[in-house]
Amino acid sequence: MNSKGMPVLWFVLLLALVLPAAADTVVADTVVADNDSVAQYENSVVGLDVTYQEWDEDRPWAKMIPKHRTAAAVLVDGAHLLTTAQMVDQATLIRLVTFGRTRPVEPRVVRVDPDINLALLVIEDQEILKSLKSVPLAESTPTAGVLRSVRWSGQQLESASSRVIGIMVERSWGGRLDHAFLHMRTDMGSGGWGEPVFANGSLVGLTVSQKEQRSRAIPVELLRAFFDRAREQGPLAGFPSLGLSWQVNEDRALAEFLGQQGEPRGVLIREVPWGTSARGVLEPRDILLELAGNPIDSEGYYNHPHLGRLKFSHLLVESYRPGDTVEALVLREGKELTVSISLRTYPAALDLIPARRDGPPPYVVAGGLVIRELDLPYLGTWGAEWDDSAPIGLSTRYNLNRSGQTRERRRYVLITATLPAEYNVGYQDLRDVVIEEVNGRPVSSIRDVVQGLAAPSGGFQVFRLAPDSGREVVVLDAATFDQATKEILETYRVPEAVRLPEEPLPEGGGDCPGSQ
Amino acid sequence: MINRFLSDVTDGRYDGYPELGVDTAEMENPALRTWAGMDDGETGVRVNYVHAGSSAQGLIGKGDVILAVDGRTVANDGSVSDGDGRVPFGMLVDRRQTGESIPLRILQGGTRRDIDVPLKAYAPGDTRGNLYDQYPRYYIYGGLIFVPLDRETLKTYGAAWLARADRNLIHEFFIRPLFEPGVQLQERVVLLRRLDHPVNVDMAWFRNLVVERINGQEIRGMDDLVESLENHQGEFHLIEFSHLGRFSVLDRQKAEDAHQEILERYGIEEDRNL
Repeated sequence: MNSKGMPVLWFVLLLALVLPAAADTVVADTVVADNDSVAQYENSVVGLDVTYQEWDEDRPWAKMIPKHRTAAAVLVDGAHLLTTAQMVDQATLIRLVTFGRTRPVEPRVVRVDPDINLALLVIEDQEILKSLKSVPLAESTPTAGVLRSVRWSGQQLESASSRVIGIMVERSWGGRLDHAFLHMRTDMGSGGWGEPVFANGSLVGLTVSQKEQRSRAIPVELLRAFFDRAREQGPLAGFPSLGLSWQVNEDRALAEFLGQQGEPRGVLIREVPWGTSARGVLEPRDILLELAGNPIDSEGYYNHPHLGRLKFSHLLVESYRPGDTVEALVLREGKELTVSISLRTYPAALDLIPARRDGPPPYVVAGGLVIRELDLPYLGTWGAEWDDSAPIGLSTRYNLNRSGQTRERRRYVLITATLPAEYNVGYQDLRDVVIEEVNGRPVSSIRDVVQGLAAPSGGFQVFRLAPDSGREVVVLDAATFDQATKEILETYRVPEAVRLPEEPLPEGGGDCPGSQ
Repeated sequence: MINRFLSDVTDGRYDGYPELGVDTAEMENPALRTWAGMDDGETGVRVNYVHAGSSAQGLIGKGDVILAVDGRTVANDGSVSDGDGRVPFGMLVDRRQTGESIPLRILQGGTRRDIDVPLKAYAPGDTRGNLYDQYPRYYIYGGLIFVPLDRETLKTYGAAWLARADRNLIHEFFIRPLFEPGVQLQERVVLLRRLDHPVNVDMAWFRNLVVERINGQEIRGMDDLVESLENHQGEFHLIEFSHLGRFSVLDRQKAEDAHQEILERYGIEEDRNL
């Protein structure tokens, strides 16, 4: 637990990053075409002054001290602003910055999709809108040349040249989509906070991160796909994902073993988790040869009409919607066959150990035992290097089984600590152990803990723990449980004994419709 | 401790410490004691886990409460009085020699029993414990280096091996037996690394993986491994690893043809020490 100080350090770093970096301002940029003057963007690029507050994942009933970030956003359609979901994450106050000055205007968040990491906001103040002008979305993302990253730095409009390095398919912030990112070498200092990227008067991307001078942006193809969905009525349509794990198919011996002749092509399917689009249709040890008519090579690349060679997972994210059907050509037991996959989203909540990009941590304080679900924000309390520093029982569960959700086991539920009291004497050293059952009820998610506690067994509250806990059972007295819990909550200033997830867990649905 | 060692070796052989072979949890919480069927004032520790092949197996079960050892009451924290102070109850076992027995009082299924546990050294001690004066065992096939999963393998990660060793191997060695007690009595085999050669260099999985099956046969020791690789007649070897559906394939004929050349290229004299 020695790296629990990391969040504080991170905060200091963030502060350093959001401070205006005047020295990095690029005043003139002769590389960019003449018709792409910086001034044309001054009415379209705005800032967002965001106050946000994270949950204290160790004391899940409490919040951390509020922090502040300055994000960029871009006006895309009359009154709508696009920025990244990350920028408005956990926001308590969002104020608009136009022409470098913070205004008493609060843009309203309309839609947030943590999976694709984008957010749509609306400005309802008509006066402010008169001074602004929306910018068109480009047809497609340039794959070469120099682009412009723009933001407000104090009252200066700062523009930096960003040379395209390439388009790469990577995991999104939400944890479950793999899609294309535009990689650039930029002159901007400390960017990656939602700065819009332009070419020839049109929006081509929004930055999501920057490491030294290497900047990464969500390409316009996905901005448009999100923007279209965000303006529809009803629940926000997400982005489809096959959700499977695969590996390259470069080993000729293995390809031959699976019945493939000649040069290996296609990718080897390793696992098809419960609840994903391909479940019941694709199988482990299939070789996926084509998706929607696009041949896939042995490293998983296909040919995108504009963006070049991309990993195949991007294909679905850009061009398909949940509910669409896509055909796949697979090699199974030496024979080629065409299967049809009905596409769904793969919400992070369908992971056994989810990223949890939305909502507060669910918890239960029971007789002083602090109980919560295992998720990435909790693992993050061990710092960026949590894979090395978190207890091995938790990190191996993540490494071996993070996507292994089943109908019977939807979450790992932990006792993370004990708030010491006379009532729970003997359990005060319990740390990060997995609960298997409460009063005989199998624990699949935190709701089962609440329901199990409502039915004590023979005058006791009996928690059965996983075999690697160092203790098989925790037993508390049921008759005094409610009173003891109440007193412990008061002593430790815990406002509520229980916080359940706002939404029920998404329906995994088992196998895909149309599966054999 | 020195006296105990001298007495152990009087027959010319060092047998080591006997082990009871149980993992226990403290019982400081009164509700836990009542639930376990203990009377007011009764103390002890609760058995969580009985190691397969240990002295306790068959005599003590999961959920039993150890009330007294060698006539001394076990406190709720697992200590017994010893002279002027207190020591963990396991110390009383450590002082005995293998072949002797120790009296225990346990609470088992609601009944208090006095039992006598004949003591033996811990059976899986050979793989679980430190090994001395033994040339490490290994087997090389098609450039793949296989070793048994034992403490010596893990210690190749240096002095801080517990923190630095591959976490998958640490999990297999320490954690997995808690979930599957049977695996502790089996020797398990690790694909440690690869001597790169065209016959193996494209394999996706080749480092620090526990081998579950080869050519469909369960691998329960180095002998199984050698047997299944050397007697298989099919075109390919299928090597399946624990977790995540990982597997690798070797072209059998190519691997055998390249075998000698790989050993020479990497300056290895023997392909095995079993």
